[in-house]
Amino acid sequence: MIVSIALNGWKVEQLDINPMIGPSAETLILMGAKDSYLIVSENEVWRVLSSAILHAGFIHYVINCLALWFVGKAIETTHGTVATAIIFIISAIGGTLLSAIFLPEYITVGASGGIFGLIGACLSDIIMNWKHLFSDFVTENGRRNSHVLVVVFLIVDILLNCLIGLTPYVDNFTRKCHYQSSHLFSDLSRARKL
Amino acid sequence: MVYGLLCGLSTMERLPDAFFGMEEDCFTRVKQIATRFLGLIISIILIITTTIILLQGDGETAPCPNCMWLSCVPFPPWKPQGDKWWYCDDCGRVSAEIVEKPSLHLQLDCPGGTSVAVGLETETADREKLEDELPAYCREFCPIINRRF
Repeated sequence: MIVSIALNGWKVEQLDINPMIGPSAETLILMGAKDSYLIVSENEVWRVLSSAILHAGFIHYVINCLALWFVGKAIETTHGTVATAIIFIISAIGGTLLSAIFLPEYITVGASGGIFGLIGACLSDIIMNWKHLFSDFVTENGRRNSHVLVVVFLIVDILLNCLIGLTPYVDNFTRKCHYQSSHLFSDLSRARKL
Repeated sequence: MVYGLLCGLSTMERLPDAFFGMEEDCFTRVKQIATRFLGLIISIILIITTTIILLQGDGETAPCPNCMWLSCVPFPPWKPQGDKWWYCDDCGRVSAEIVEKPSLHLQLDCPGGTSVAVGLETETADREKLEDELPAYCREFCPIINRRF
């Protein structure tokens, strides 16, 4: 983030150009943002991965850091570093590829593809352990209600992020820009441990 | 998120049924193993397929042009053009040159490679002010804005 601001001449763009408080598109492209034309025509395939470590601005960066801290930490603690890394990297690459196909005219950056991948993993965790999370066994100490609440917040969070994806620089095909209430996912992962 | 969901099916730890005093039949076990393999296999197939589709394209044309509205919408929609909080065009990146002859005008390099002339009055030819107004000029005068953020 600091390097991108430095390359931008130590200034941020106007808010109507980049509402995330960050550098210009030229700077982001220079640093490795997803640009479909450059990926296809100039064989700059590395942009598929490099775009996942760049951010559009301070707001985008802080939100993604918080999301990664809460969701990534919860999943890594429960399911291990290797599983978390596999999910993050495959989701980041897959999301950028989808974005490059469906939104070739967009210049996009951000780790949110990977972060949303981790949220997707939370969903698969819920699906796979559904009968345990919502069984009569967990009703006894009132945990089922908290599990239902977590699932509801998870769905609200996904919808909220899709709305944030409607801003420029943040694209919904890579499911960028994760948002708050991620701590609930860590609750869910802890709840799994029972 | 879809990739995460698929990978998660393969990598997420499943709680053993025995822990809850439930019996696990053979069908359930086979279903679990199949789900584990399918999650990762489908993810890899999807990545290979999307890579092929991307590389076969020209990197400029989307298979569905209207898909961009799923990812960026100028906001708020009720505000007039020129007064919105953010836009989904490429006008933030335009450049221009002040040309004094034969008459004072701004030669605007539009997104997409076209160029248009915008007439200027002498008192408005302040460089800094003009630079700030370039995106607005672009939205008003450029014919096609085909590259978007």
